[in-house]
Amino acid sequence: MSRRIAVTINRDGSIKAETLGIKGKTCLDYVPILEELLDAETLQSGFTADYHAGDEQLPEEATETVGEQPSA
Amino acid sequence: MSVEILLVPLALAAAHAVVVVGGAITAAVGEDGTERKACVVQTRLKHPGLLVEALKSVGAEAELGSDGTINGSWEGMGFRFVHHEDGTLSAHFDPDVDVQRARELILATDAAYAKAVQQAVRQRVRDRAGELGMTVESETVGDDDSVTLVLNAEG
Repeated sequence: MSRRIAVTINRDGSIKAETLGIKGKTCLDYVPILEELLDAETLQSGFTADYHAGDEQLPEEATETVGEQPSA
Repeated sequence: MSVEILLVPLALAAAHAVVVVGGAITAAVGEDGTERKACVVQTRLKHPGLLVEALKSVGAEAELGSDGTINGSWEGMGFRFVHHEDGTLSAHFDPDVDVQRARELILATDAAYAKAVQQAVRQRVRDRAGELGMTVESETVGDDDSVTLVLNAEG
């Protein structure tokens, strides 16, 4: 599966971005890239199934809030 | 799927969901020492240029001053927007203003501002994706007026 990012810009200005086909820690590399691309700051982030498909054992769920990035 | 991120554009304050509706009568001492009361409505809006455009789009007259404040009027109702320390702008009306009309102006302006932000972000993605090693693969508009861009990050 090719690496894609779906960016949805809502009518109220809020944005949701979701990485597709990017497994493991690599997906975290896109958080600062998206912030720069969108001229926006991260309000919240959460890992989904493919994150756990990477080559490391990771927690079942992780959620970060404003000003923090998911720790690798 | 691997990570889902919720972001807020820097032109908007994350702390305010949409807009703080209503107004509070506050008093402030002007430079000449006299006390002035005003009906103040806090907003989530941060970018003066976009705000002026939003105000004009809803039919208001608005002008950005050299000190960063915005003065104008809408249907005979005067207003002034001033910056707060957190970067947001608040609307100041006369203390005897019709609060319902002030609220109407702020809500309409917030919606117009958000639409302008949406378009600005959309254009920024189109313009800058290539610089960041990505290409815009598709672009769709949803029933709720949301815009979804799918970026190919193979580069």
